Amino acid sequence: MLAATLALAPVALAAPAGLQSQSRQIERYDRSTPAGRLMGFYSDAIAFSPVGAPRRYRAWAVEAGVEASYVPRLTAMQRRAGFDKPEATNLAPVFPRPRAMLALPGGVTLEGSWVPPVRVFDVTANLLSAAVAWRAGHLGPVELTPRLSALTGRVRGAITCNGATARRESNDLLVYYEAVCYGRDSDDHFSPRQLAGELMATGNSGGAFVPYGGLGVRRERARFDIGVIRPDGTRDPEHPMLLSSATRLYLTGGLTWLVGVRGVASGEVYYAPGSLITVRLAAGLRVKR
Amino acid sequence: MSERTLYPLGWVVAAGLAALAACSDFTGSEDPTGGLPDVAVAEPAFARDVQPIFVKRCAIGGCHSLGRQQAGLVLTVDSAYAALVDRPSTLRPGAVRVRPFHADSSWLIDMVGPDATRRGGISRMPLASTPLTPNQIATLVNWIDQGAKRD
Repeated sequence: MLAATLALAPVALAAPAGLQSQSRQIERYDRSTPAGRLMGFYSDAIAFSPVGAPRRYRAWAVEAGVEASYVPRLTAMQRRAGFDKPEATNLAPVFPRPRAMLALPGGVTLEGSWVPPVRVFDVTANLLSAAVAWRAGHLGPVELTPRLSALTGRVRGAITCNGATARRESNDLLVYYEAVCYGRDSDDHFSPRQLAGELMATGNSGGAFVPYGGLGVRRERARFDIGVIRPDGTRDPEHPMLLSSATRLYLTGGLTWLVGVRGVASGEVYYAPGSLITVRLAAGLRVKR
Repeated sequence: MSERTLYPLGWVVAAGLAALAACSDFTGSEDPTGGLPDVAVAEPAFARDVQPIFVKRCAIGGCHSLGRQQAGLVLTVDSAYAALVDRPSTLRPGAVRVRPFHADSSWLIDMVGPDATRRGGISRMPLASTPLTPNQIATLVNWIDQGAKRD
């Protein structure tokens, strides 16, 4: 999976720009706007953070595992992109992701992840992530590891027009659903692109538990393609595409538990100021030592 | 119970506590003016003070745009005046969208105003969104009461 992930990365990174339609109105939002904050929140929710302490591996070791990120629910006010109605963004409480790691000689590790387009809860994500980290040395008992990561892809869901949410929340939303949404769920596309660099510090306890922390900065660009579906099945070109770009700081801190010879489990708190605090859990198994 | 069997329990408890602490770190906010100055204009001009409200809050995708024309009403720059002034409502028979000098009997004001009884069960506009501010509504009322001129 890792090899496929890395091979596909350049293609996927180039894809979103090529997919942009020329006829749609483009609206740009910075992070001081409600729409920008909303897009930033979901960019953070799916960020490819370490979820595990950097460790020493034998060259060509391979580790595979899964990660789950908790996605906090947002209030109706937080889900408003400006003066518009609340958007149906509380579609998935958990974002799961497979992960794989390959250790290279010289203390370098490559990480990759591909979330295949399978519907989980009410969301279909197709996200590709990759990272490279290398041991840079010690500062006393603390080992320092720089890490670069990238993420691209698309998350699909009925966010603008969601019949189930409209029926649950208000009669006005239901009228909106019937009138503006043609009585159909929308096919909205959220397309994030992220490039992040962080410095991780790992405690060297020598025991089964390894604490770590990190400070990172991420450059991100997110596009939200409003996908109101007309009765003939086509996308309604009246609705704009929303773009948001930002450079942001984030913090990670966690603990990795080495379970026996091959197993590993990690818990991480991820904090992006002005966006979210969340927890990520991961479990993995070294499949090649 | 051995120390080793406590490890998983500790992780579950720690994960649960961390999940409880997880939350968003921003407050929601609204921008009902759409970036326009939120003032009640005493002597409003249509092009300067009234039309921008329609453009920002009504003539948007899926609503009173040229493409969708919800309720047969287009509120874009070139169409709004002719579509409103002395034009009958398609939602309420007998009602007039904008009756010059009579904001109190103009359907437009009923549709954006806070009094649901005046709309007779029809949803307030902008639909499902943040209402127009009292200042914006006052600007519309002043424009109508001063003759709904096209200036």
